[in-house]
Amino acid sequence: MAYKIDVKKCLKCGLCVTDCPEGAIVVDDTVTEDDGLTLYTVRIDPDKCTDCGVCVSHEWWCPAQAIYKV
Amino acid sequence: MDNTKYGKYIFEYDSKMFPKERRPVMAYMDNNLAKGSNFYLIHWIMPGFGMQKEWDFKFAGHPPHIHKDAELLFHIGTDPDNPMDLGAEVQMYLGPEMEEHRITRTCCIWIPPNFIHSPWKPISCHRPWIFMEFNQGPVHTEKSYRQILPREAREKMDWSMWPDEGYLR
Repeated sequence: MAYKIDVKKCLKCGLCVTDCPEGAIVVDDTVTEDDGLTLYTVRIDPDKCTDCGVCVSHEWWCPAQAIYKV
Repeated sequence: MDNTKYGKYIFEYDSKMFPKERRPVMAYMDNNLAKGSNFYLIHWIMPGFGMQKEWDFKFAGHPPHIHKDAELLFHIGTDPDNPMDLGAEVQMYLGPEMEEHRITRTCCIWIPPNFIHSPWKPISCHRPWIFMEFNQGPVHTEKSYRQILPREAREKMDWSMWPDEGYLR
């Protein structure tokens, strides 16, 4: 797998899950906070990722810039 | 509505159209109002608007968020003798790191698509000025990133004022 998610940078917004064209970014855990905000713990599924590179294709694809090429 | 052929292209507004807004909105346009138009929102900022404590966003200030399309935030001063002076000070935070900026001059802030920006807060104002929000897309979209705010700030907010728009998740 050529791409990873930096868990320290990830803001758990879940945007990448809906934006990945291959559906390769999947939710491992969902937590709803007291104020109603839902946070998603996500990972890249190596079996689905095609290394297309869309997820790092421009600076703000991930608002936290948490996805990087290994 | 007049009887002319092209009068339909002239839009006038009633401030009561914007009950959710906390400032006098002067003009608004999007693809729903005029097919083919991008999103535009133009309003005044008056002295006294948004002067609040550091983390009290309740009646002013816009929490961290992104848009699907690029956004341009024009801050336009109105002093005929010194038009580049905003006549106000606005606090603006940029990026997931919440880098702080102070706006005191006429300017435009360019917000790329998906770029986290705000809180945006007027912290002083001694002359009315004009604020223009242009999105380079047909309708307004917004997704909150309030998780980057300190816990005490999040607890002070009424989050029903800031719903997400146009995002699936």
